[in-house]
Amino acid sequence: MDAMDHGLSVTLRALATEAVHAGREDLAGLGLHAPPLDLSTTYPSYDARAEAARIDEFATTGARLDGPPVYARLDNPTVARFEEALARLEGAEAAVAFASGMAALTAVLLARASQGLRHVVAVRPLYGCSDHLLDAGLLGTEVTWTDPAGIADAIRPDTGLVMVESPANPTLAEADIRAIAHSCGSVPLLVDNTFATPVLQRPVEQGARIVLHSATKYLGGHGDVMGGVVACDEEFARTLRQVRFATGGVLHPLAGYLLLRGLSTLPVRVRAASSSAAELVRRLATDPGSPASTTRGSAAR
Amino acid sequence: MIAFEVYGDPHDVIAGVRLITPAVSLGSVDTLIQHPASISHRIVAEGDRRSAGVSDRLLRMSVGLEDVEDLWRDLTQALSAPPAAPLRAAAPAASGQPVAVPGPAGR
Repeated sequence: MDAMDHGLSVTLRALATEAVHAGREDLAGLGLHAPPLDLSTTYPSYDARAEAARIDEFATTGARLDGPPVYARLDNPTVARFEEALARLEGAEAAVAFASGMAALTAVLLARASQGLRHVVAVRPLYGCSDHLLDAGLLGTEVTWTDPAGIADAIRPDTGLVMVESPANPTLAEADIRAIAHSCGSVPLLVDNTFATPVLQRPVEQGARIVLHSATKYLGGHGDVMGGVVACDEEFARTLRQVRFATGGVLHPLAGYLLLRGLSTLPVRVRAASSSAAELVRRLATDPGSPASTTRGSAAR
Repeated sequence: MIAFEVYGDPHDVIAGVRLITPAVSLGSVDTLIQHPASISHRIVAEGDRRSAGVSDRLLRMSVGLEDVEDLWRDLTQALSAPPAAPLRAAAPAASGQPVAVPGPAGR
């Protein structure tokens, strides 16, 4: 918990600074430079009564455990550093990491459906497998597809989630997140922020309650780590931790390590790639010999 | 990220890139290009896909950290090249031609 305690006491810093230091504030005090990689699957204890009390506490509240996590499906210190850093970058209270973006979306849907809220309102296009998971109702949910203007009318008493992706995969269509959040009323809005990353867009600041990432993409940034993460308020994070514990879609600690490492260069990478993307869009749009018709660039602001 | 529709066959562009990586996924240090109707959005029913704006001529390119002049050179040669056999097929193919991926894949 040291990392989190230190993090909460830190005054507001620029995103580029947070990218390098969030989730690592305790390292110098530990005499370390690189974050420790904890690969333990279980955490020994001679005091089973105390462990029982800690398990009861987690099962009741979903709050992160103080001290060793008993078993790796409850928590992992290396993954927690990535979660803390990503939450900070998104301006969210908490983040919960999963084995993939689809595992993360699955946990969100299960968390809402388990409260009897099985209906989802969603705007196309979404990433193809997100579309598929909702459309096929694989988790027992039901989806109503609509455009942003139809969200308020599509919401029912059993609606547990409104989902949009902006910029959307693959068309890069952008949504007015603040206006959509207003249309959602009390229903939580999930924004898939995989394309923009918190470098270019922070949906929580625009009224989204849940931010989803396929961390495999820009957050990792090097094509060698698969993961997903949800940034949200601590209340929903507690439910997600309980779902993660019960369903097992945990992020591997090595993946957590690599994702934390990826975050440190995220602002530099996103800005460099955006600059090149903007130049390519300019050339495709103006080159009279260009064999491309409609062109759209994104994340180039 | 860039998305654009091509006048010609999008599969020729995928087969024609040499510096750009012809692969699904995105956000990597290297530039990746893919055909959503074949890969990232293949699992979405054709009608739903098209009505959401994902046409069969759409290509999605995740721009990486290479020099932009090198990227432009490779992209324009791939967009201009006549249909050609790829250096590497996405899946084993006796004919040497690209093989459509039938199932869902990554983003």
